[in-house]
Amino acid sequence: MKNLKIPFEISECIFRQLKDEANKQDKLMLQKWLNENPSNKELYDKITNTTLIEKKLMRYEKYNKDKAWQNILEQKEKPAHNKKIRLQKIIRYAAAILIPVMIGSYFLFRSSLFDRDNMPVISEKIVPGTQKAVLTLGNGEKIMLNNTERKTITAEKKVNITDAGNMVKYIPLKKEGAKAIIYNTLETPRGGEYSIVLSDGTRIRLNAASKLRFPVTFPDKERRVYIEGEAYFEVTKNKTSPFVVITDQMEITVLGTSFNVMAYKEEDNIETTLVEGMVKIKSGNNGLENTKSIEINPGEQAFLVKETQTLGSRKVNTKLYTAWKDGKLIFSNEPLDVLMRRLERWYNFETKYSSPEIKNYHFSGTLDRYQDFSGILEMISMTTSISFEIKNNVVYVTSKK
Amino acid sequence: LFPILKICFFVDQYQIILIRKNSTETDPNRHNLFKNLFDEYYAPLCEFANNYTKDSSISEDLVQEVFVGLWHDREKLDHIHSVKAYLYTSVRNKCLNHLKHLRIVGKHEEHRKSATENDIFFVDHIIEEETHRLIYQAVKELPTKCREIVLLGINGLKNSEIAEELNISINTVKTQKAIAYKQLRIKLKDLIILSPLFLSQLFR
Repeated sequence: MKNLKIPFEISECIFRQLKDEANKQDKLMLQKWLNENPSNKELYDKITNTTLIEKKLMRYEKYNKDKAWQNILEQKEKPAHNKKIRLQKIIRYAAAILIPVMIGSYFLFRSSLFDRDNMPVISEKIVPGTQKAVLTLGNGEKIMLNNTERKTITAEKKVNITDAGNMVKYIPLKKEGAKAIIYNTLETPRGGEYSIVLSDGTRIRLNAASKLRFPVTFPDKERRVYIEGEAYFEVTKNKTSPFVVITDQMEITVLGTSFNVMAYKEEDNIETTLVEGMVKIKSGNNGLENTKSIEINPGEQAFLVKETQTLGSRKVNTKLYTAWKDGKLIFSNEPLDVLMRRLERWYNFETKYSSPEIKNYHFSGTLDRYQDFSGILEMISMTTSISFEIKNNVVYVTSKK
Repeated sequence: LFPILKICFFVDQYQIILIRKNSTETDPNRHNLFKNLFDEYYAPLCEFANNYTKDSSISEDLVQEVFVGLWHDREKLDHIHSVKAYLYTSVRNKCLNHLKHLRIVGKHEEHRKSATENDIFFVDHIIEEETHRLIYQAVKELPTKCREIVLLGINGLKNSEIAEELNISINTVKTQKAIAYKQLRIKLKDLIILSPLFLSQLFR
């Protein structure tokens, strides 16, 4: 296809000239074009002849656009695309789609002309996270867990610990009277995730950059674990022994349910999202002061705004908050910095913004957590006026303009 | 295993056309963008096609085909910079095919090959049509109030009479006129002022 950039530019120059808005550059370009060929001058005179313009505009008005639009709608339904539709539906659900929701950024698009040279410069490869974690035993011994080898750990007396490469399992031995509670810690690095089955059968999936502290076996009356970061819990039912999840500013008490806790230090909120069952939430600095408590039902989320210590609940689409455990990242109208922080933890990189305003871009969409990182950046970049550059594991975010 | 979705899109100044592979045919967002594109380009493209076909009903058919094609063949558009360029090029190709067909059936010998098939003919008519399209958009984008006031002025009413007619103050009339003139600067203003016939068509 012929490159039509110049004729389009010429017509814009002529238009601005007619509006008396032509700048120096416009005038130069126009003059150059007029000098190129005497026939261009003829064309210019013809185009700018007011009688002709008037006639042209009246002809434009006479087209029956509604009828034409109807025709197009009918015709575009016709072709046999039946085979494709099924496949498209499947792919649609499987594929990562990024739909830009550009809140209030209409004007930005006005000025940003797409051009291939503005494509994101992605010079380095950043890879998604993998199954890995560090397990710290009661005696301080650290064990690297990753999916290269499987092992059985016998260091703790009351349990057998087996590692399957993506999940570590605590299997209690026969009950003993020893009262001392021994704590172990499972910690995932940035770019890591891991699962654990506790001695009571409770399953916990740990997201990247998260830390779970838990007793090797639980005492009879209460099951307490400590979490930093994000985890998805499937708690084994036990009516006589409530399960308590403790974060630095929120305490979650449950009997037996599934829920997601997000309590990263760098995030503004702590969020507990309930999928099934019922949970009780208590907020306050380690339960010392300003304690408030609420109960939430399935499909609800309790949130604590750290700055104001506001504890509240709201109805949410739980999938948005638990999708990470199924290998997805779902964003619903989230600001760029929140999105980038989630990606940072999983892909393990750093972000630098050329100006703070960029953080206010909002996004919606579903991404594949195991997808190549450059693909994700490319999508964001192509659908917005943001561009990315990667250097030494730092992603530089700039406005295209 | 993890298909990366291809997004292809076009930015034409104030218009972004996002045409995604695998997006549903009924995606309202895409549908609206497609409709905007149609509204803006349909008439100008038909006029452009007339230069080739000399028959406006055939031009309309061909331009409609191009829009249907754009909807269906969006995958092909990955590497196209501008939807505008795609539209003009496709319309020209459709027209040339049509003329070729006419030549074969022997009905249209007066359409000589050389005149219509060269690039200068193509480019010149693009410049003409695009300029006129921009003017058309500018006139259509005048605020309603401006249009009403300009229309009454052209029909020979004085500012005071317009104010009375529209039940507004003389100052409002003056400001609105100023807004209209500012948007359509001197030369276009002359055009608008001197063309009551055109305005009565457009603003009726």
